[in-house]
Amino acid sequence: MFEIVIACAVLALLEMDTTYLGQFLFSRPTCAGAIMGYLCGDFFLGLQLGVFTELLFIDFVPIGGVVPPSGAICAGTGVILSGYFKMDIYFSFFVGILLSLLFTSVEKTLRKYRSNLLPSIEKQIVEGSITPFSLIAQSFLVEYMAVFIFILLMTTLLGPTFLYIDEHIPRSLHIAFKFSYFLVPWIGLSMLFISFSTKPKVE
Amino acid sequence: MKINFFKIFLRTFLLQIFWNYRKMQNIGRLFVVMPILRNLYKDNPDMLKRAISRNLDAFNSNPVMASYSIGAMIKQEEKIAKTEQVRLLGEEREWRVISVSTANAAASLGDRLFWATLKPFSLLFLIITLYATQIYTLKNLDTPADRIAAAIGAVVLSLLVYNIPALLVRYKGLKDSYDGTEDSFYGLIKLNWNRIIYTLKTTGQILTFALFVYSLYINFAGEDLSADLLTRTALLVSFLVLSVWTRKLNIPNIYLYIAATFIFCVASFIS
Repeated sequence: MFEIVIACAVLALLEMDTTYLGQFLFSRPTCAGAIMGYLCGDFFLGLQLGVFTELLFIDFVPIGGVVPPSGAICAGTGVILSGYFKMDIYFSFFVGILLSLLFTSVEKTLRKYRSNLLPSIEKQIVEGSITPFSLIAQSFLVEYMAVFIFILLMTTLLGPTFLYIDEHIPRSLHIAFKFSYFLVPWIGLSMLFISFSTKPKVE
Repeated sequence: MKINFFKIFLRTFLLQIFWNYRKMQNIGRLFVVMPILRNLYKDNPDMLKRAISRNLDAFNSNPVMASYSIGAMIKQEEKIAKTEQVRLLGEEREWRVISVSTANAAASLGDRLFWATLKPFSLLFLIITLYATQIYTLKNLDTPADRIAAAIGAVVLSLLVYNIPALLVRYKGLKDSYDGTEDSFYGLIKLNWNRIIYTLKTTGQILTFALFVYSLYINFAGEDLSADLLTRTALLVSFLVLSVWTRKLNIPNIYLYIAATFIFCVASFIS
């Protein structure tokens, strides 16, 4: 259990790089997946989940206030579920995608929460009762804790649930998930090709 | 006033930390320029409060290219600090014009260059580097353990492909926009950004096509013609066509993947 908590803490820290801290792309799925894979003892599993995730998420561009699903959450939770709970990679990838979509609402809620706080915070900053640095430190801590709790809760709920139902999953379902997983790199590569298009996009 | 650009540069990494729907990066921007404001108005607390309020205006730009806006705003802030009371409103208005125009232009360029071009390009670079070291990550998981060092090297290199230009632009953007004038749009038109984007995208398309063909080869070469192979090929082609079609409809590919999974689940139960 301690290893899972550490893995979730590292993943939450990597996720902070997506928007709030640096944007060095440590949070990109290939990097986050590889790091999480290394931590879980299967580097290449993490790398593959990372590459597949990044290929599939390539058409999400975080422009303006758009909150795209988090690639780091998808690849990272996928690796944790596969590495620690022995979930098959094609199932963990699918669950990772659902969790990344769910995480979008967590992120939106946090942004709304900050928006509601803004008027009183601005007043305090102008009056000098709070410095931007302490505000930023608090904000970082709240964001980090929210992400960490989300990842920990989801992986520790879904992992053991999978272990419980694993034996009862019909073989046909394995084949179906395996096949859709097989399609991912091809859909991703075609998307990658289109993303390099120089033609202006018609809305 | 001597500006410590490196300190400002380091602070720009926290530009988005209090991102909110009302004024986006306003708190982050204030955090970035706060040392400059404290220095400029150390003997005038009222003007400091006024400058802080001004810097709390809405601000949104690309996190890398925002440097081009921040440098220009710092320059104008220095001008405001020196200006007489009668011309204060005019200079503040000018500050707001600079803030909005440079932030918008930098956002548009930065999103196209860094998010939509360089990031996918570095992913492409990673996959090609992995293939070059015989790590066929798109095909299978049974890679020998002794290839870990090569794979880590490939991941690090792909990060460098993105980060070296990003860090250079972030730092140079501060200096160029601080030294720039209205005529050079605060350093933003010093480089032909569109040319860079076009070159990267064209190279990316050629390399992706080559990668696609090579991936087909390593995945399907040597397989006997069978019903299984034909089924897989037919489904692959159908989903490739579908992915292009969904892209045209602005439907992200993860929904196509989810839909495919459900279709296969239903089909597997029926059969």
